[in-house]
Amino acid sequence: MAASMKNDLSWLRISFLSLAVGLMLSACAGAGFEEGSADDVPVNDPFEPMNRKVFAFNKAVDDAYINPIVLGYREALPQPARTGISNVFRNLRSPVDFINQTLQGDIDGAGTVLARAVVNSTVGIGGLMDVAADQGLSYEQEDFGQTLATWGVGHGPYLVVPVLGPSSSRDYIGYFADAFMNPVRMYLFNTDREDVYYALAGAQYLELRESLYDVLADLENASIDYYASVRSTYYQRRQALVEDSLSSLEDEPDMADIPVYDE
Amino acid sequence: MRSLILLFLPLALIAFSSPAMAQKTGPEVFIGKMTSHAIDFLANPELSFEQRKVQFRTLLRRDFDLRTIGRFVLGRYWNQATPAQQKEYLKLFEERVVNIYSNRFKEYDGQKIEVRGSRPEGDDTLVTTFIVSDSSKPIQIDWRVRNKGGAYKIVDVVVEGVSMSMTQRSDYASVIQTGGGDIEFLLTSLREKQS
Repeated sequence: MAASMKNDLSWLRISFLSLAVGLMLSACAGAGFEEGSADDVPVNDPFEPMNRKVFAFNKAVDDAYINPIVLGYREALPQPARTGISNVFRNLRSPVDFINQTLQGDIDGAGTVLARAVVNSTVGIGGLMDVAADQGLSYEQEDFGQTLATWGVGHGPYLVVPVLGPSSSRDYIGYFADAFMNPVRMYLFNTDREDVYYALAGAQYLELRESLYDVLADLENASIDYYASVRSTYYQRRQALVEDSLSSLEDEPDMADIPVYDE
Repeated sequence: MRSLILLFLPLALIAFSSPAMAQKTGPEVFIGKMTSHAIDFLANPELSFEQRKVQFRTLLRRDFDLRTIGRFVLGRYWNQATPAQQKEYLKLFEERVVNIYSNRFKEYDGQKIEVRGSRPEGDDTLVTTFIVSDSSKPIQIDWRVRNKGGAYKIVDVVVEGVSMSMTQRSDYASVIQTGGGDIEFLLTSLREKQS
């Protein structure tokens, strides 16, 4: 019991430390967008030389360790089984999605998370089947990075985190905040089962990497400067998630304007 | 005979009153035709890789505004390029697009594309489609369609919120910046990729 208390405290300390570091990063590098036109993705990458080194390191780790595991996982389990596992992980994330929807003031969104969790945990057999999506309640990922964005916090500098990959100081803080507020983590930590939590987090990470495998391979194949393509993709994808603009025909996301050129 | 008519009448009524039929807009019909044409040649087992590539290039030239896309992708460097460089760039750009997507032909595995709806985006229309298959989660693809002198042309493809033109623009800008702002640096890379 005492040990788990201590563990929880060290977690808190790490979280605050990363929060402080992140805020410092955001503070020391305010402006400095690279591109000239309003149509460009507003990239803020003051640590680009270091980020590129970490990016190369991550690529080596991917090739040597992550991708072989991902492909093995694919080989071992057929798609329906993998979809089931992915659904279970999403269902386990419901408390985090719910808290963030609420913090963002998106009451409809919070209601959707709740309805999805109830339906999928029961009719969907513990979250294995996403029956709620068939009823029009589709999944939306919500995290604390997005919550900060709706509160008006900018990305801060772009960061490539070892192993975890592309992030920004804002979203990286959000990543720790999500883990910190996650009731599943609290429960496991309070019952001396930290190892179960880390195993779960690792499995979730591998599941995510499996779903991204083809996308990343295609992106690398289509790029000359893969680093720049991934960075651009990261900013655009986060923007779409913050605006909840996917799968919605009404909301107008903030899109680049493609001009009409003279011939 | 009468029973036959009675049987078909409700079916006919349903068919003609179907709201889905009435609501399909011009750009949605255009995207529906384009994607089903693409699936036709991707799924046709009698075509060789080279034949598919030819079909794809024809579709690309007919239904995409490659000049607008290519120019957008080059961003502010378009105006810094000489007319000769612009011309070579557009040629290399088309080649690059054909090569990138031909590499993905083999990934086709029975997926279907559903047109879900559309909404205005400035003077253009954004048509929302989903790639659905038994083997993976649905993928959202939005097509930005522009009416150019009475003909619909695609000017951007947005996959799960990520614009392909924008991503390539970032890529090319970075390549040119690495080369000290010289567009020739990009052209060299594109020539190398082609060979």
